[in-house]
Amino acid sequence: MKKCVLIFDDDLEILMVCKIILEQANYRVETRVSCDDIIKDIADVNPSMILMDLRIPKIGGEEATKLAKSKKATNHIPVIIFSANTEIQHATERANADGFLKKPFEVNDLLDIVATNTAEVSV
Amino acid sequence: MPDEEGKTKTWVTVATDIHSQKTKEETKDEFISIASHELKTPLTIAKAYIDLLQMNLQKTSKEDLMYAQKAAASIDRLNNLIGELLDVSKIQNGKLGLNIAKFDFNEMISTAIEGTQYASPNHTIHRSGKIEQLVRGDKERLQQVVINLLSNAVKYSPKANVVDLHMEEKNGEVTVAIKDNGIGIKKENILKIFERYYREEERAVHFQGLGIGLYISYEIIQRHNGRLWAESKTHKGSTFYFKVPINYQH
Repeated sequence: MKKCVLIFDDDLEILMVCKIILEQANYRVETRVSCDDIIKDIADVNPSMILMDLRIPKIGGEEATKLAKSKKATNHIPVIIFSANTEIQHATERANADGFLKKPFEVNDLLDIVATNTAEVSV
Repeated sequence: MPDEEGKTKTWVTVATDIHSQKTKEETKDEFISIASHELKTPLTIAKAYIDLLQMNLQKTSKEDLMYAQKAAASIDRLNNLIGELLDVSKIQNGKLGLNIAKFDFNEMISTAIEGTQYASPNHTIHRSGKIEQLVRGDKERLQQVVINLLSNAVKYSPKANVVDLHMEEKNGEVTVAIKDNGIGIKKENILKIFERYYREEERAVHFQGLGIGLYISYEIIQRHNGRLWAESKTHKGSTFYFKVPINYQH
């Protein structure tokens, strides 16, 4: 079974290009344009990892990550903050996320970070 | 104010309403954040598609691959320009933050040289000296300074092909010197080059740029409680120096 990457981003073109890149690398990709229902979304798609934008309706990626990291059922799923925000490192630390990827990114960096964070997960 | 018996008679309070000032600050912060997001989102999409295109073209057409590489280089350039404009905005608002940690200074210099060398294969960057201790500072920001100084050294020495980088540690400080054999800077302009948007007239005609790279570098070094300065002779070349404490304390 393919490993699943759940991407939260409110920009459809970003979601589209990431889907193309990751599907070519043999991942299953699920996308969401809002992060308010993150706990339900995780339950629905059972992701191996999450890519999370910061500026996303309504509660924002930082709060959504904190929420996922606060629940026993979801806190084991790696969350990578994925943003052009220059304060990305601080936001990652505050949200207790597992890492960050600055936009714009190199395709190989995206593939590396996804490979690293899905390596330990059994599907 | 006290009365004759020394008891408080009048109490004078000076209050300044900083609400509107704070609101303005927050608006500026919000602007930086929105500008960063809005400018970089289309850039992210373009860069990702160009990367994909390059991967596919590697197998098929060398000529088309070259076009895609040139497009990718322009996207990187645009990304750097946006980054610099956002840095200026942050400096103006006192919001240029540092991520302080201990790091290997030599490794940081290697990465900066590698990046500059890759973009400017016609110049050779000679490196000398070594920093034995770990340095405490913002690695990424200091690397930005080194890349800026190396790129300038290359850019303003089109007829020379060697740039020298020397580093040393002394009295708890690291000093880096970057020397080129280029067009040099007029004596009367040597201090002005660190000002925002300043560009020497002759340089502005022949070389591209916004005139903000040195301004940002100067601010980054100042934030590290360090010093950035230059020595130069017209048509002989310039040496840019910066000095930062090995163990930065806020």
